[in-house]
Amino acid sequence: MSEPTNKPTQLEQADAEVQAARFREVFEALKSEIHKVFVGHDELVENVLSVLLSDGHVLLEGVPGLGKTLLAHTVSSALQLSFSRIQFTPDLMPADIVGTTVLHEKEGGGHELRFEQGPLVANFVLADEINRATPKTQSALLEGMQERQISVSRRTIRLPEPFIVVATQNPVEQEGTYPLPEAQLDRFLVKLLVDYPQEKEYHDILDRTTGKDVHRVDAVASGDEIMAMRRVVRSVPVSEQVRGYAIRLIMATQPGSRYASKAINNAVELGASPRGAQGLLLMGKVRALLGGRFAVSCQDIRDVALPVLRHRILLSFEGQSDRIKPDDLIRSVLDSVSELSS
Amino acid sequence: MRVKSQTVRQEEFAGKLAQARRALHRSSIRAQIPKGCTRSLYGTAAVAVGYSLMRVGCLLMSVEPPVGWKGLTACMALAVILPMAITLILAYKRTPSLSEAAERLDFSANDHNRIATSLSLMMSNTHTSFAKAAIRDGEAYLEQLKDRLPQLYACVWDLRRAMSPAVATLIALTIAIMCDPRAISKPDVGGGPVGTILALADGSKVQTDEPDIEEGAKKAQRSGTTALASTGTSKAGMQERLPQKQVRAEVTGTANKGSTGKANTAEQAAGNQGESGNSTASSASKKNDSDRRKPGKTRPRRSMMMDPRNPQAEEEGASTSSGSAGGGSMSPVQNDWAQRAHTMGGEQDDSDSEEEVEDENESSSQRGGVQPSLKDRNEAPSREMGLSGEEGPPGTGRGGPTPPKKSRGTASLVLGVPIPDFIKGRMGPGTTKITHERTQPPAVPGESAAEGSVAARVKAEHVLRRLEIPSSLRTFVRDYLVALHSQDRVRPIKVGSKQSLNEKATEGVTNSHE
Repeated sequence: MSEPTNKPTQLEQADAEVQAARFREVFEALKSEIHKVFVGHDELVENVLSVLLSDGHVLLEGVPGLGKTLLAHTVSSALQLSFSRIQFTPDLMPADIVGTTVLHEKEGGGHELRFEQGPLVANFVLADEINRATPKTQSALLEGMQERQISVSRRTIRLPEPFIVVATQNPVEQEGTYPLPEAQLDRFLVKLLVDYPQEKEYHDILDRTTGKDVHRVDAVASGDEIMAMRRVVRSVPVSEQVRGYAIRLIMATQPGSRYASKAINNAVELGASPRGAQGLLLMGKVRALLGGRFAVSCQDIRDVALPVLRHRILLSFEGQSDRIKPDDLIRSVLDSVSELSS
Repeated sequence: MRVKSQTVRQEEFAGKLAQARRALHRSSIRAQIPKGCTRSLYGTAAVAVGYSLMRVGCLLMSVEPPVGWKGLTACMALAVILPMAITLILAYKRTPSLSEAAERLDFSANDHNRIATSLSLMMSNTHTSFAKAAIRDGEAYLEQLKDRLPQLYACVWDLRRAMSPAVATLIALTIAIMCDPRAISKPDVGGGPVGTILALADGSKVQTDEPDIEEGAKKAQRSGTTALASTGTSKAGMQERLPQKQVRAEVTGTANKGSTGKANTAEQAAGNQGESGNSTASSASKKNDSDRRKPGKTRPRRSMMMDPRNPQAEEEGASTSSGSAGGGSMSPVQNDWAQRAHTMGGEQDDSDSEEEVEDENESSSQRGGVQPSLKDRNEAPSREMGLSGEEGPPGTGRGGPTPPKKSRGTASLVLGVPIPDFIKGRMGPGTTKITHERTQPPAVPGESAAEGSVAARVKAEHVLRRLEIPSSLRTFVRDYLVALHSQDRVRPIKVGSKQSLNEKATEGVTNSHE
């Protein structure tokens, strides 16, 4: 496991232009490395890497066979980070994730209790099919995802940095799944929908997966580099206007607020939390850097609104019965809220 | 030194933004023109509606309108000019701030908020490398935009909003024109009654096809009678069209014919002139007068009351008679009595009794309404629980044997079966005590289960078909569940009552930026 340091690197001491250029360079390198194995879905890959650099966690949702696990595995392969995979099953217990004390036999005779840390103690955690486990087990991730530490009996274990959880899940309509609790959902920075590939992409997929050639992914970024890039992201400024716009967007998803439309009041039970606003700005900062700009714009906020907010909007009974999708509601919010502050 | 340079940069930036600010000011004034027009239209509509209402009021009160068409034109001009002027003056006075100009410029140029961000970072004195880079970026972009400023405000003409006041203005003006006396046609042209009323209200000469009526009206005017009274007496056929108030006045006029008054003189004078007009009117008025005095005789009350198949008419007759004769009000019970009397008379099939009933009805109707027939009244059975039950003649209410009692209520519910008035059990059993005993379960003899080989099924038992729910039922269930769950919605309550939150919820988007 790599142990990244918090010392300012050469990248951070350079000018903003240089930092932004280096950021884009590493980002593109990671992206191209991932695309060696994972075909298509350019925006999906970009969003996963943005979350990695925004210090967040990703929830990938899609029907089986679309490459969710492959994507997570490939991203971890492109990074020099410790990787652990947890296959969530209905009989998985919280102790299986965070670790537990196990009775060991001493060499000189006798027994002792030793703590065996679980697979959560890693840089890159793939929680595969997270909605197959019970909510009790799903909740074992809560502390680790938010506070970067886990508590087992009287022991508190600090999780390594960078720490990212990439969870995959099948749509909840399928049998044998448990929907994630709202508190758990809110801890994911984005929820990305994995869609079917395009026709052209099918050719590439079949070529790469059914042929002789084996494509390998090389690690192009270390933990230190990821941490430095995270600090660069945090140093991107946000103007008052853009911050106000993000706040208005968040408030517009909350029923009963002054910015909420009639559709939101009717169809939404709970709107986005302040974590949503944090997510909008962090993802917007990455977006601005990738766009060659040095400050976040309202357009950046709009671009990331769908993945950041779609899992934070809890539909009411009316909304569910009308089969309203959170994405449609977010689009209506984007249309109704103006970016002008006056 | 650093602060100074920062200030200088801010001033330079503000100077560069000044052109955009001026352009924004001009654009905002231009953008207010459609709003001003819409407001002018609303003002015009208000004036037109007010004027038409005034016209209608004056027409009803037979008063000359205080404002004529010239006045209306002046008011209209004011209603057009004033809102437009106020809107434009307010827009002129509202100078956009620097940040507003920057935001609007960014919005129009779609440049990722570079200028507004630059201004904001400059104002907040942020000195990180990224902030400096963002400021430089904004300055450079503003320099590029210097010569080609985009359109900052779109001049939007909202025709839909302007339609309603325009239509209201047209309708109101049409009503105002129609209410103009000059626009109303004369009676010979086709506006008979209204023209007559208007003309009479104005005190002008009435032109009608009937010369005697005209002359009667003339004489009535000459003798100083009121115009409406003379009209009422001269033309009976017009009563239907006249407003209720005027008809009432007219009836009053005819009713007072017997008494001394100028109206009476006029009517008589008009009646002497011819037969067709005033005689008809006078006969009608007489008829009305007699109707008012003897409503029971003149109207076909009796036949209606005697008809047992028409209970409604019977009721109507009863109520009318009670009102006209002043014999007191009649209760529905009495009415029912009368109906019962009719029915019983029909059953007896006796000519004498029929005659008696008829006479009684007639006498009762002469007395002012249907009276209860007391002929066949029997005493109600005694409710006392004493000794009785003997057969005998029906009771007269003066003692003696009575028919079997028709007791009701609790007396009939007295049970004849004795029920013990105590409850089985121990008094004060105390707290519950549970004792555990270790005993073997008793063996119950029974048949042993037959053994049989059990194996997994090789094929499905049967096909489970999914019941298709009809869409109407689905909609019904959905509506029911929506109504059921509409109350348990969780809303973030901040400040204020639930009602105010609900009101807020129905307001929709209250975005200040239109």
